[in-house]
Amino acid sequence: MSGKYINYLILSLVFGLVITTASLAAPATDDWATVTLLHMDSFVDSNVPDDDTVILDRNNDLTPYADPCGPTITTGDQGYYGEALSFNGTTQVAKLINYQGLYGWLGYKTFKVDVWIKPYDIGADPNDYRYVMQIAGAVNFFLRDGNVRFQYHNKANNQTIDLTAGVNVNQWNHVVATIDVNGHGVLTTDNGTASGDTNDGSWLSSSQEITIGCKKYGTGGTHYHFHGLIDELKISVLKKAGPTSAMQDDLAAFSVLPMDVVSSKVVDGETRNVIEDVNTLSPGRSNDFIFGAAPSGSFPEEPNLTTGGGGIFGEALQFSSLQKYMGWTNGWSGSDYLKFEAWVKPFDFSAARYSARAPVLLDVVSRVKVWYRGGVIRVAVRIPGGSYSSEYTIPVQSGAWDHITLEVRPDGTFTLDSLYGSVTGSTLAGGWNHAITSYIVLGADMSQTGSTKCFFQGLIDDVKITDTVMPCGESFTQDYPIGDFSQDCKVDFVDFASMAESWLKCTIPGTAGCLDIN
Amino acid sequence: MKFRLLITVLIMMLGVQTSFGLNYNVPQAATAPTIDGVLSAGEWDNAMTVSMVYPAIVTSPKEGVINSATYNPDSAEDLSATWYFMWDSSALYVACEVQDANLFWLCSEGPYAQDGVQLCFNFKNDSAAVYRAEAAVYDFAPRTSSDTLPDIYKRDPSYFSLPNGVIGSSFPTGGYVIEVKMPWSDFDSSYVPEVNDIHGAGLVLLDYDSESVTDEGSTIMADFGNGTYSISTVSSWNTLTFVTSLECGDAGYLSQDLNLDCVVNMTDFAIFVQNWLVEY
Repeated sequence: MSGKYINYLILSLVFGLVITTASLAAPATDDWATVTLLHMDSFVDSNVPDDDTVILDRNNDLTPYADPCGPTITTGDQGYYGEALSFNGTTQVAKLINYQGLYGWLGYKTFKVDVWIKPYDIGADPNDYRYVMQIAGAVNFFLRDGNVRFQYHNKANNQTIDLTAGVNVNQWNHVVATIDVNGHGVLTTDNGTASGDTNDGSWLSSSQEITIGCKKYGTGGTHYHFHGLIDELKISVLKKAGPTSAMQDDLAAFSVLPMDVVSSKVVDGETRNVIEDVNTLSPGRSNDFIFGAAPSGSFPEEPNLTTGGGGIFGEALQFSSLQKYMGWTNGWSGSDYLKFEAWVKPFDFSAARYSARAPVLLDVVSRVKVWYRGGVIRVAVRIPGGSYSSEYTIPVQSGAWDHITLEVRPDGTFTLDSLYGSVTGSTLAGGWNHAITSYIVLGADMSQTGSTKCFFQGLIDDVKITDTVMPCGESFTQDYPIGDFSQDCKVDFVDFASMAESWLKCTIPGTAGCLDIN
Repeated sequence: MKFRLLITVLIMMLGVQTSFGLNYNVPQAATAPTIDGVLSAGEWDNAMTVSMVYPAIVTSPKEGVINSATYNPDSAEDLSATWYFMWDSSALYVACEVQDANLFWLCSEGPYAQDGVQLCFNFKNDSAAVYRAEAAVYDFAPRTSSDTLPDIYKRDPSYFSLPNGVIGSSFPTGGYVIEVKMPWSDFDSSYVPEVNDIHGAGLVLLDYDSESVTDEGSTIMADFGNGTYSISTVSSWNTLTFVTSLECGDAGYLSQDLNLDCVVNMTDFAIFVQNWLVEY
């Protein structure tokens, strides 16, 4: 065996060790976040209360929804834990939405239902579809032919994935069904597990209400009603891992604001409180965030910093009432690219209409707006020469820190991303209206007049605003990783193949067989 | 290539508007080449080489550029070249092996307006040299329209017109080869070249498919090391630094040569393994 082949052998052996080690060390970064948790132990104000305390103020209560009476609560500890919700199999149904879309199901990209059921009817009759749950057009969860059936639909052609697992009549069954962001579904019961994928890796995360105990209230007849007990219903979404902090130096950053220290500076001849731009790699920009009113504004009240570590990283900027709002950045002159990153903990996202009660998080004046309304966070971008684009939304988890990233690109497409969802929109005009001297305002809508500037309520921490695209390898501080020969910003099999292809090649001048790559 | 990238980054970090060329170490010739237009075996083996292969020459991190008034080559076969440089006490020796799929020299404008190569040469890298005068632009034509012989042409013959220069050419399949001897005596009779001497240089390929360079199919492809057509900005040209012989790095580094020892081997792989699955 030649020395060259021995080297190849060693290369392969070492690389095999690398793969094994890397596989073992792969970290898990995602976690399920509870949307609602229903113990089914009692009614409160005629509802089954959402007892989840992880997500504050969520209040996804379950509403009995059948006249003259909905499902009932058992007595005498008949549930799996305590009591359970009892359905008669003929008329009773409940909904996870009595608030017309404010706090209810709003369409997440992931979904998990974890429930205990004790069916008295497992769909043995050929006509029976005993529904535990339905999200119209997206998810069917029912009993038929002695099995649990879990169906979900993809976006492209509404293709249905149908998962089946065994279920036991007159016994408590633990059923868990999940759908991940790639359209992969898994159904698990005490009797088995099934899994499947949509053919295009997507699924339809409908914004319809969630019905419990029937296919849909008022339709389908008695064969669609669940007959039995439901207990400990928990619905969750897959929470993404947010960045540790967005505060790293970056030449592409327009402004980096840690929200930890308030300084005093003279701005336009007036002494103002500011959060200093701490990006040391672009010191000439110094786009501090200035408290109080922008030059054209008339609301001098200022937000406060939290104390005692009230932010997610140190302190945060606190907007404690509707009469206070944040200031503006100095020097924004428009850019065809904008990226806004911030940790946000909203206290108010319930406004039913765009008004002073629809708090605005970000206002790139007359160009980009991010605001809260109806339990979702919304974004719209100005069309060149025209009005704003359609609103694009993702759900909000109130009372919890969320990392918000908005990226608006030169072609007019934009993506709003949070820990709980992501949406991509477009001005549909091949660009957006960016070229203007303007201001970036946090905490208010400068286009509104009078006292209705849609003031934000909550906390904002670690804000970074970027106006230049500078990906890995083009940034002075973030060169390509060593070994990233393909320059795709990661060292992987593509680079290994490149290493193997160049194995034992040389560039020694004047040496036979070596390359000259000048 | 690493060296070029480093140069590029350093230039960017300076934050200045001016772009600079690259430096090439040019070795001393053990034996002066025969100027006959033929790259004989062993004759240029130890020379500094500079390749101008399209489209790599204009691909990031690009060092070359296509003149905006002209057209991109169709492929590497349509227009590419490898330059060779050596020096000794009597002359600078330059060779250029050109791939040009369509040779053309039926031109009425002179030897410079046809297929050929241009060497921009700033003797001693003189910061005060004037473009086209002391900072000379030489057209090396493999043949002229008036006869079949190669020729050296300089637009302003009052400076460094190489009266004693020697040029040879040949026409292998798919292109042509030029060899040139540029005697030091034509620049400064008292000049004695030494190691570490520096001269400025820019490299240009001319590919005419008709009498006008602006006609479709004609190309001016330049390498001033900075990705721009900076022929008139003499201070931004590449530099040639004289050395005794080439060392590791003078022929560039493969990107996989992570420890820059000019061989891709287990030492590099060990570094690669340490960064496995790193992602930015």
